[in-house]
Amino acid sequence: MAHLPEGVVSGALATYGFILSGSVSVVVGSKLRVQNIPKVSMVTAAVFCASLFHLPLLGTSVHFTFVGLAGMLLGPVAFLSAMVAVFLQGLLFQHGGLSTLGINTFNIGLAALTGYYLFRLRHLLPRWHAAVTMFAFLAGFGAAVVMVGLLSLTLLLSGFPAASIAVVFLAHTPIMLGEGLVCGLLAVALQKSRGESFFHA
Amino acid sequence: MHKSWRFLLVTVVLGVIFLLLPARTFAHRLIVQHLAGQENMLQVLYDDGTAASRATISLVGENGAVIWTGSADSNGNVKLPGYTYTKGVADDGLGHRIMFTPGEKSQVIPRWLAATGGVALLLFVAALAKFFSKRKLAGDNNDVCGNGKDEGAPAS
Repeated sequence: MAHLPEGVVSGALATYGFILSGSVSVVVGSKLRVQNIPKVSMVTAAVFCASLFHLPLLGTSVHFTFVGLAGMLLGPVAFLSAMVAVFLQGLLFQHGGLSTLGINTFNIGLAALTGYYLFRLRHLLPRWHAAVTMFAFLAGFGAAVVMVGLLSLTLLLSGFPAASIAVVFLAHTPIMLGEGLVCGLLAVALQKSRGESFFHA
Repeated sequence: MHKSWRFLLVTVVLGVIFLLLPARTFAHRLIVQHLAGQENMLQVLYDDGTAASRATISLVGENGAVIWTGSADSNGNVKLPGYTYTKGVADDGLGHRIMFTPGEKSQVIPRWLAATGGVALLLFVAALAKFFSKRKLAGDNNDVCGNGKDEGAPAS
């Protein structure tokens, strides 16, 4: 659902999307190192495939994105991961359009960054045993909420009625909880098998 | 239980959860298809096969004006009035939208092929980066060793 197709957003909004996502990409691109590219590619593959898992709800169809997970594992570079995944989904699955690539990248990429910053909050409670699990859940859930929020804002600015936005939020509620659950479970598994090293600091 | 077995167990459990999701197929976009044998019947679907029951169809005439608007039923079916139109727009009101022309058949890459191609491309990039990263590391190590030898070697 996060992929807006051609003809939905205005030209001005699409242009702002390209400018914003381009600017953020330049900033986070400086943090990318060659030795991290294999990990980034693997996580991008997961984000790319996430849209294959969908739920038919309220007369529409919603799917997973795993952007919160990308934020947890990659840090700020998750924005670039989201950008590549959105591009490939548009190219190979025809999800989203070329003119909306910028705004889609921005909406999904910013959600990934939210996941990263929410997961970082675990350092505030270093002695709490369940901190990693809880903040991983929060990262997945929060990232999905931000993504749907930005999508709703884009739709509102494009002239969609508030009732549509309510349906978008309601339809995505199971996805938000599902993303949080997946992030929480994976965080537990990764922490037990690899320790903290697998997460971005 | 060994850590790697625990990791494997959690991965398998997550995989099973995904497999048990209702109607798990592929992601979505709108598709408009003509029903076989029924010239004036269209069906609006998401590309996972879910009927787009919220969809509305607008037909645009030769002068560029909308000549007819109708809604899909619970199965995503729409009965067209039989007007001549140049293009149509299907919109579910939630951000999914597709434009189509009369008699158009959408050609899409098979999903399994698209997914495999995308993952293969990303794995190739990962492998390439790993290769160059290792090569760079080996080069740096050689430089360090080489410099060490040079320092210790007698001047000719």
